[in-house]
Amino acid sequence: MFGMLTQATTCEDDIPKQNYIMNEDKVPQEPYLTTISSDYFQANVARHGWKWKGSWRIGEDGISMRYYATNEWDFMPNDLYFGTDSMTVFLYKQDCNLRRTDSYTYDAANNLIKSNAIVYMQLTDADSLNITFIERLGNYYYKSSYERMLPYEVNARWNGSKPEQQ
Amino acid sequence: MKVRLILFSLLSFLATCQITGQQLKPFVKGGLTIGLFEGTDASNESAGHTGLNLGAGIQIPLSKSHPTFLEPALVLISKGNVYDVSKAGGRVTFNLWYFETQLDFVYRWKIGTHWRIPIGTGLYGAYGISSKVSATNGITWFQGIHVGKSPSMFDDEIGANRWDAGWRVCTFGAEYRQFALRCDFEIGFFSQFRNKKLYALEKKSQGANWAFSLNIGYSF
Repeated sequence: MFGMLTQATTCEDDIPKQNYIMNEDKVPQEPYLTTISSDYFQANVARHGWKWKGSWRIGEDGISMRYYATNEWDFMPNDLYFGTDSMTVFLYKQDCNLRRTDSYTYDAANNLIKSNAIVYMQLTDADSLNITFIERLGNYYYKSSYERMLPYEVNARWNGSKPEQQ
Repeated sequence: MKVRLILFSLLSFLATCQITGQQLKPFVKGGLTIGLFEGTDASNESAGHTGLNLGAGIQIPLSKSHPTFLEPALVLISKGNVYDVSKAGGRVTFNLWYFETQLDFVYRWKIGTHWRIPIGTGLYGAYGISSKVSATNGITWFQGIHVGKSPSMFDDEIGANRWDAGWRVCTFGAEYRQFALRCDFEIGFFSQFRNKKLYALEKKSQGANWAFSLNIGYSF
């Protein structure tokens, strides 16, 4: 039933026709991956908060599917803040605004962000206002886009959330 | 294979000379070539690839009343493209080397006693002998191509044809006695990206070699 409802609310015309290739670990590979250097990451992505805009679930066949509304998710998407060496994930869980902070490293060889705060995150594109990732959310991989938050929005997320209990 | 191709080209030259029985003038030429892939422009952070060309040919007069010539030539030439990847902090270079057979139809406009203005057009056929995609240190990926491994464009991943052909749109310049200064512009018929579409190119069919050459030459 849930599946039928999901199908009904999915706009097929807007599904990106991007084909991802699954590697041996069944992680989708960005077909047009281009290196984003650590310097560029630190200059444009770090020290900013990023607000979730939308996600496309990547099926096991490598064809992505778009989801529109947050109520279609079995979890809420996250907002992000990258410091110079630590990152914070703002999440909504069990009717509560929480934040999870941990250190991270940026691996420019494969554009990977490695941290205990997230499962898998590969930066696929970035500029000073928008970033896109392939990320693991729940049980699936998604292509997600985020837009840069204004400082007051970051403060609101920070002040309105509690540290997540591990 | 490469040696046979060169021998075939040389024999073709000699055969042409025998048939015409005209007064032939061999020449040598060499210079710089600026290469570009068709469909790329400045907004795609593309810069021309600077390479070299070196070759030899023969001027075959076609008429006694008009200064028209057929000019077959065999040239070693490098083509390609360079992409400035600002987000990666460096450059990615696509470099291709070809043995190229050029066939130009040239009109030589005589000015004064020693000066001539050649202008012409023609066709070329080429065979790729070497190809490499290289990148500045620190760049591992470019539009899905693992440039960190310095792949060849002739590999299946990119799928460039070893054989290439195209139109030598124009060749023009100035000649003084036996010395020549020539500009050539040529465009390929086939994309160099059969299996891999670059985001920098608007259509998959794009990506043919474009080349602008500036040469100096000497005829014997």
